[in-house]
Amino acid sequence: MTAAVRVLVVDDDAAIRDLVEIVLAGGGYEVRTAEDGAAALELVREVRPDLILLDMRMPVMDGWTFARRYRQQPDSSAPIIVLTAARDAAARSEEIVADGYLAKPFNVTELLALVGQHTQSA
Amino acid sequence: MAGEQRPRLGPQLRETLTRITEDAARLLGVEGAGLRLVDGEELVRVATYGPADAVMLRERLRLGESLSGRVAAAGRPLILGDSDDDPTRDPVYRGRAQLHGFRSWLGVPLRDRERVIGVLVMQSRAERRFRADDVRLLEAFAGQAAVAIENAQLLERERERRRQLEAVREVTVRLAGATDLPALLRLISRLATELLAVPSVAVFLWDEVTSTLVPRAWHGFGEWFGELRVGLGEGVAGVVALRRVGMIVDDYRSIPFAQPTVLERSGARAVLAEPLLYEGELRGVIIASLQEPGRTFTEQDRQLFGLFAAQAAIAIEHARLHLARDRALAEAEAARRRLDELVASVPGVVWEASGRPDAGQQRIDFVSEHVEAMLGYSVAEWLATPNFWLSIVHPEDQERAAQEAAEIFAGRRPGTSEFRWLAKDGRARWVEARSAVLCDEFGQPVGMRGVTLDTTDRKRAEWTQRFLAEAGAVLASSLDYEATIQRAADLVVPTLADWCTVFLLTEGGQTQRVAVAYADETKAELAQTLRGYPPSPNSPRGSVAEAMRTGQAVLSPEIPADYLENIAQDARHLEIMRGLAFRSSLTVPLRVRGEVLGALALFRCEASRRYDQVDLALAEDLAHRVAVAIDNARLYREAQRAIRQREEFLSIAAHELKTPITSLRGFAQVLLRQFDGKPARDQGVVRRALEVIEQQSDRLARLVSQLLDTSRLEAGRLVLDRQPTDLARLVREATARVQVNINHHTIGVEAPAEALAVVDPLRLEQVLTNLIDNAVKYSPSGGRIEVELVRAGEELLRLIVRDRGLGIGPEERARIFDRFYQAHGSDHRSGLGLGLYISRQIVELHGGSIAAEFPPDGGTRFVISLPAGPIRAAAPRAPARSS
Repeated sequence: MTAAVRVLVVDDDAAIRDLVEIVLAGGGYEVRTAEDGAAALELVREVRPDLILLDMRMPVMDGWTFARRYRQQPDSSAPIIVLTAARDAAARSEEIVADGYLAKPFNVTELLALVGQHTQSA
Repeated sequence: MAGEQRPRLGPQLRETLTRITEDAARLLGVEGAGLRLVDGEELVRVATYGPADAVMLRERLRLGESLSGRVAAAGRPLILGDSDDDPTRDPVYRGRAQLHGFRSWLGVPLRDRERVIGVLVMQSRAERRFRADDVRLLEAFAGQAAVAIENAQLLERERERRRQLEAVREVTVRLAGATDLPALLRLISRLATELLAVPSVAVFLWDEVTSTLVPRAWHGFGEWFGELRVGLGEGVAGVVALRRVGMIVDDYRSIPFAQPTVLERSGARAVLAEPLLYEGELRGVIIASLQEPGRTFTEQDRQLFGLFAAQAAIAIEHARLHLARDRALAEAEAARRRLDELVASVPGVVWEASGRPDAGQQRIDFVSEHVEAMLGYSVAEWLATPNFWLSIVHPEDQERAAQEAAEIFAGRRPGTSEFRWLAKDGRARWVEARSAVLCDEFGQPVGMRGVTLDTTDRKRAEWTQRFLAEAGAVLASSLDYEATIQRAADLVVPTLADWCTVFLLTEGGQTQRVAVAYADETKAELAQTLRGYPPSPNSPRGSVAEAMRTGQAVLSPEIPADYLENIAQDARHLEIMRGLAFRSSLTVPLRVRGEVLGALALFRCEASRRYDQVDLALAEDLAHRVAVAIDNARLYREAQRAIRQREEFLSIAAHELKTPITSLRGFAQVLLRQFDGKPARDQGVVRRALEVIEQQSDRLARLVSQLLDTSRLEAGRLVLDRQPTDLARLVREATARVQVNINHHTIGVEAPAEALAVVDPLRLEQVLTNLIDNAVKYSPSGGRIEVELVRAGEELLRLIVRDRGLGIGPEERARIFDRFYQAHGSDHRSGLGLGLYISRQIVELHGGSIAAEFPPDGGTRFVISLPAGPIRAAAPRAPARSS
C-alpha cells in the first residue's frame, strides 16, 4: 500500500482545523494540524508534508512569515495552498508565491478537488 | 461852562487902571470915580474908586446907553449938575446915587488918537460941583491916562502873547510823547480848551473813504456830536477844510452854511476853526466854540489857535505813522506766523537747500521741525552739517538717491525720488522726496526746495498685502501636514524674520518644536544642538508658553537682557541662545476655531529692524492663515485615517464573518455526506459537526448583532427597554452563564443581596458579558476575574470588572472605546473591535459612565457608574430573565 499523502493544515480557528481534518481524513489523507506558523514550523521538521494548507492571519507567527521561513529550510518542496477569507484571495496567494488558493468559505468538494490536484504526483 | 469869563485884564493892567482912577479922583477931589473901557459895542467897567455900586452900577453898557454910553458915543464930555436934572436917567441908578448922596456927575472920553477907547467918570456929593476948568483938567488927565492905558494894554498883550507861546510850547512837548492816536486826539481837544479857555473843542479827521470830516475827539459837546459827518463846504469845519484857511465866526447863528444839527443842539455862538494840515495835505479840522453871548474870538486867539493846530497836525501825523508802522509790523508778524503754521501742518519735511544735492558742500538752508518727529535729528543738526540729507540715507539707497537728486538738479524741472532714511535710533523710514529746482537770474540751478513725505506706512501696507497673498497661495498648495508646517516656517524667513520656529501642541499636551527656518546658514549647527532642548512645558516665563496660554501675541521690540537667563535650561542652552544673537522677538499663538494649536516664534537680529505693532498685526494675520492651513492638513489626515480605519474594519468584518461561516457551511456539508454514506458514518464526526454548527452560528449571530447595534447607534436609533431590575441578581446570573463556557479563568462575584435600578436588563447583560469576554481575552494565561457590584451613594451604583492580564499600553488607553479599536495589532484579534464601543454607548444611554483603570499591580479594571434612579412604586413590569 502506498503511503498516505500527508497534508499539513495551518489555521488559528479550531472549528476550521477540525473541518478540514475530518474532510481530508474522509478522503484518505493523513492530516496534521497546527494553530499558527510557529507550531507549523516545528511540525514540518518532524513530518514532511506533501501539501500545506495555510491560513494567512494567525497570531504568534502569520502565514507570510511561515512561508518565508519554510522556504529557507532545505528540503522544503511541499506546495502551499493559501486558505483565506480575504477579499482578494489570489493576491494573497501571489504575495507568497503560493501554488494555489482556496477562498473561505469554501465548498468541501472544492477542497477535496484542490488537494487531490496538488498531490497527484505523490 | 457857559458864562465863564476869560480874564482879559491881567493883574498888572488892572492895577494900572485902578491907580489911574484913584489918581483922577484925587486930582479932582471927589468921593467917587470910575473907569470904563470900550469893548466892541460895549463899555466895560474896569476900575472904581469909592462905592462902586453908586458910581457904576452896571458892569456893561451899550454905547449910547446911560451917561457913560452917551459920552463914549458922542466923544464929548458930559456934566450932570444934579441927579434930578436928567429924567432919562435910569431910576435904579438914580436911586443908588441918591442913596450914597451923590448928586453931581462928570464923564470924559479917553482917546487913543481919534478913537474913543473909554470913559472916565467922576461923581460928587456936592450939587453942581463940576465946571469947565474941571472938565479941562480931567480931559488933560484923560489924555495922559489914555496913553498910559494904551501902553499898559500893549504890555498886557505882549505878556499875553508870550504866555500863549509858552503855553503852545508846553502843549507841543506834551503832544510829542503821545503815539496812541485816539488818546492823542482827546489830549489835543482838552489842551485846546485850556489854551483858549473855551468850553467846547472838537477835532475832526478827514476820512478819504467817505470824503467827510469825522469827529474823532471832542469836549463840551454831547454824544450826538459823534454822529456828525461833515462834507466839504458844510458848516464851519467844512468851509475851513475846503479853503484850507482858519476862520473866526462871531455868531454861528448868523452864518448861511451853519449845520442845522449843530445849530440846534450846541448853542454855539462864537466859533474859531483851524485846518490841520501836514505838508499841505488836509488831515482834519479843529474847532473851538463859545456859548457865551457877547464874547468873541480875537485875531490873537486865531494866531494862537493856528500855532496850536500846526503842532497838533504834526503830532497827529506822527501818531498815524506810528500806528501804520505798528500795523505793518503786526501784519508781517501775522504773515510769518501763518507761514510757520502752514509749514508745521505739512505732514512731511519742508526744506530748502543750496548747492548741488550730491556735492559735499551742499547746505540745508531751511528744514521744518517735522524732521525731529520723523527722524529724531534736531533742526540744528540738519543746518549745521553739509550734505546732511545724503549722509543719513540708507547705505543701499545712497548711490541711487544721490544720482536721482543730481538729475533733477541738472534738469531744472520738478522731480520725485524714493529712498530710505535712517532715523537717529537706527530705524529705517521710506520717504518720497518731491523737489523743485531754484535758479538764479541766468537760469542756472543754485539750489532745491521741496517736501519729503514719510511713505513707510504706505509701502508697508502694499508689501503686507503682497506677502499675505503669497502666503495664502503657498499654504493652500498642499494638504500634507508636515510639508505645510515647514512651508509656513519658510515663508516667514527672511522677509518677516531672521529665524522662525513653529511650536505645536501634541495630543499629550506637550509643546513640541516642530519646524525651524533661518536665513543665516552659519547657525545650522546651533539649530541642530537646540533640538536637544525641547521647550520646557510648564515654564511660565517663556513667551511661547505665555502666547499659548493667553492666546495673545507677545511682542518684545528689544529682548530684555535677563530674559535668556530666565528661560535657559542649563549653561549650554544659554550659550546656544546667546549665539543666535536674537535682538527682537514676536511670538504669535496659532489659533483656529477658538483652540490653540501652538505658536509661531519670530526673531530678528538687526537693530534697524525691531518688531513693532505693524509687524504684530501682520504676524497675527499670517498666524491665522497658518493655523487654518495646519488645521486643514490635520483634518485631512484624520479624514484619511478614518477612511483607512473604515476600510480596515470592512475587511476585518468580512474576514470575521467569513470565518464562522466557513466551518458552519463546511460541517453542514460534512453532515450531508454522512447521510449519503461517504465516507462511512461516524458518530464522532456527526457529533463534532453539530457542535461546531451550533457554536459557529451562535458566534455569527453575535457578530451580526454587534454590527446591527453599531449601525443603529450611529443612526441614533438604539432604544433602551428600561424596567425596574435587580442588578445584583442580573450580575450573578449573567456571570454564571458566561462561566460555563470559560475554562481557564475563574470569575468571582461580589454583590449585595439586592440592588434595584431602572435599566434595560438585556443590554446591561450584553455589556457585562462583553467586559468579561475582554477580561478573558486580555489575560490569555488564565487567572482570576473579579466582578463587583457596589453602592456608591444614594443614587449611584458601580459595576466593576477586574482582570490581572496584559493591561493596555498608555498610548492606546484613550482609544479603547473607539469604534473598530483592536488591541494588540491586527494579527491577534477576534471580534470586530466594537464591543467596548457599544458597551460605552449603552452605559451612556443609561445616563452612566464607563472608564478603564490600570492598577499598579497589572491588568485592567473597568468601572461602570450607573444612576440608580427612582424606582417605580408599582411591582416590576416583567421579572428579570431567569436562568
